[in-house]
This record gives sequence, C-alpha cells and structure tokens, in this order.
Amino acid sequence: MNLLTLFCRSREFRERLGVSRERLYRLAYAWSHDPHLSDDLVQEAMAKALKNAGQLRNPKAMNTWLFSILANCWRDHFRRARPTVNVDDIVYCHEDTPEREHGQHEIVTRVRAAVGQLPLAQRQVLTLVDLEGLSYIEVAEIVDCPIGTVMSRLSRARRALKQHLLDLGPAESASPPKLKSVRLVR
Amino acid sequence: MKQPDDDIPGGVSEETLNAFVDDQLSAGERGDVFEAINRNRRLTERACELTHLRGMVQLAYRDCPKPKHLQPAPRHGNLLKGVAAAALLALGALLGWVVHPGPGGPGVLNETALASIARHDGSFLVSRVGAPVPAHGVRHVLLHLTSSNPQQMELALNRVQELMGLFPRDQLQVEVVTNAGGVNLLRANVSPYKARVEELMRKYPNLTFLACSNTVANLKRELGPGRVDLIPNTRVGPTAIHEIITRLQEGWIYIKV
Repeated sequence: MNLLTLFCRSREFRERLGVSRERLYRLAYAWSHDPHLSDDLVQEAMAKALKNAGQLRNPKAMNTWLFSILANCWRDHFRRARPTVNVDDIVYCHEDTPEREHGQHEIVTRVRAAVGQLPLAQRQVLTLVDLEGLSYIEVAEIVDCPIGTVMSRLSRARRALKQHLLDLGPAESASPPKLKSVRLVR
Repeated sequence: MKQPDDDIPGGVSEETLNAFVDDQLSAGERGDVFEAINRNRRLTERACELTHLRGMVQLAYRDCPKPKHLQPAPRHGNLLKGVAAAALLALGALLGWVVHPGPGGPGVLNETALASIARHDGSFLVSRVGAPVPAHGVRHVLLHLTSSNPQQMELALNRVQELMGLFPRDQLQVEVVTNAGGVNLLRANVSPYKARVEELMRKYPNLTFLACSNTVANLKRELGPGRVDLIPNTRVGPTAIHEIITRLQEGWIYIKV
C-alpha cells in the first residue's frame, strides 16, 4: 500500500465521518434529549474515531463502529456522572420544557416524552433499530450484550411505547355514547 | 423461534413479532409468521401497531433541536435582501409622508403653481418635503422623468415651459432629473426633442437637465462608450434617487411625470 492509497483512505474516512455527524447527533439526542450533551457526545465520539481510525478494519462497517464509539461515550458519561448507579436501571425522565408544555398534543412531543420514559438500555436498542435501521446482531455488538437481550429490550420498549401512545389514543379511549333510554319503534 | 407469550395471539412471541416487523427473521421463520398472521386477525393488528410505533419514533427524531453553533448560519443573501427591503420601506415611508398634504397658508407655494402643474389625469405627482416654500424668494422645483415615451417627454417639456412662465427667472430654479427610459430625452442621437431641449437650456439659465449616472453607465456598457452622447450642457449627476432625496431634503418641490 503506497502513500497515495493511505492518503486517499484517510481523506475518504474524514469525509464519511463528516457525513455521519448528523446521524450520530440524532442518535445521541434520542438517547439524552439534551442538545448540548448530544453535541458533546458526538464531538467526543468523532475525536475518538479520528484518533483510532486505524482500528476500523472493514470500512463498510464504519457506521456500526461509530455507533459503538458513541455508545461507549454515552456509557462513560454516565459513569462519570453517576458512578454508583447501574446504567441499565436508570430511567431518564424528560425534563419539562416550554416546547413540551406548549406542544403536549403534538405527536413529536408525545413520542419523545414516551421514549424519554424508557430505561436507557431499552431506549438505546429502540433508537438503534428504529432510527438507524440496524440489524439485531449489529445492535448487540454496539451495546455489547447478547442478541436475546436486544430482542427482549426492544420488545419491552415497544410495549411501553404502545401503552403510552396507542392505548391512550382518542380512537381507543373514546367509548361509544351511552343512551339513557331507547324507544322501540315498530 | 421464541416461546409465545400469553398476551400474544397466534402462537407467536412478542420478540418474534418484533423481529418480523424489523425484517430480522430467516425466510422459514417469516413464512411461519405470515401463516399465523393469516390465521389470526389480532396478530395482524399487533404487527400493524409495531410498524406504526416505529414510524412514530422515526418521525419524532427527524428534526432534533440543535445548539446554536450547529444551526445553519443565515445566508448573506438574506441579509442583503433584508437591508434592501428596509431601504425600500424607508423610501416608501418618506415619499408617503411627503405626498401627504401639509397645512397650506398664504405664504406657501402650493395653490397656484403646483395646481396648474399637477394635472387631474394623474400624469403628474407633486411632492414636497422640508420647510414651506415662501411666496417670495427662489422656488426650487425638480421634475422627474423615467419614461422613454415621447408623449411623456413632451408633456414634461410643456410643464417646464409653463412653470418658467409662472415666475421670474430669478425666483425659480428647475431641474429635470431623468433616469431609465427618461434619459433618452437627453441623448443627442436618440432624443426626439433634442432641439427643444437645447432651446430651453439656452433660453432659461435657471433650468438644468440631469441624467442618472447609473443609467448612463448601463447604456455605455450595453451599447459601447462611444454610442452614448448626451446633449451638451447636460449634467450627469449622481444616481437619480440620490439627487431626488438630496433635493427633497433641501426643500425642493418634487414633481413626478
């Protein structure tokens, strides 16, 4: 491999990293619901990716590799912030924001609030599958757990979302009007 | 395939149904789930719910709020457009204000001279800003011509002549400002009224003709420098709008043809 090939690979890597920034940010935001924390996580993940670019063996798996780094940064963040709490047990509640208060009926706000109620581990799996369209095997690699755990976390996450979003929907909650009296007309 | 849960009908576990919706099953497993779905309507509903939930999650994070430094910076063009719009608004407000009829009085030049110039057919628009023009002393009048229509040109020259007849030369200063098509009035090889303009210039030393420098520059760029000859003694001043605003601020009367 000559120098030119190395240079081209490095340039391509940087370009792909730049393109992935939006996706990393969206994922980080879905996990944290905090724009500034998301930005910090993405910066940290990209810095680590640049530093350890040589570890990426298969360029086609770059996104999975980047998401793994982001997941590690996310874990590290909680280790730093709450060293004695198990990450998987944390229920990260959505904070009240003016946006939430004024747009509670909007679907985006409702869904974000429902996702915000999920335990972090479930939220991670759900967003990696739903937002990034990753396979269960890839998600298992990223979050470093067996595929069965991924499936059960995803299943629990969607069940909780269903309770928050679908079971309370107007279509299901609205009962038919009760008639006080019925007169039979022959 | 996982063992079915109690709350999931059709002998399909919740995890398997999720994997089916996420396209994570092998061909054989997918076939089994399809068969179960065909047999059980409730299972179809659950699969639809899961797909629906996935769509809702995707929608919820399509546009995430970002810190300020990550938001796209406003384009420079928008800023320029804003400045241009503000300038136009200011100009409109200025002209609207000067068009508004002010209080008249015995010492003000607006009953006779301007009434005779401003025709009822709306061919002229008369405006004034600044202090009232005294009945005695020098009156300053600016005529603004923008049209290349010969009838408009003739009308403007007629009004200049009428105006000159109303006041003594030492009490009147008239300036005809042309831009756009109106500059044709002052182009030596194009003007249909070249002789009349020259005669007016010769006859009235208190009359000046001014061509907008922007329009002249554009003409030179389009036709070539040698093909834009103006009638001698024509002034090529600043831009027409600059001249008009300056004159209005000095208290001149503005008449738009």
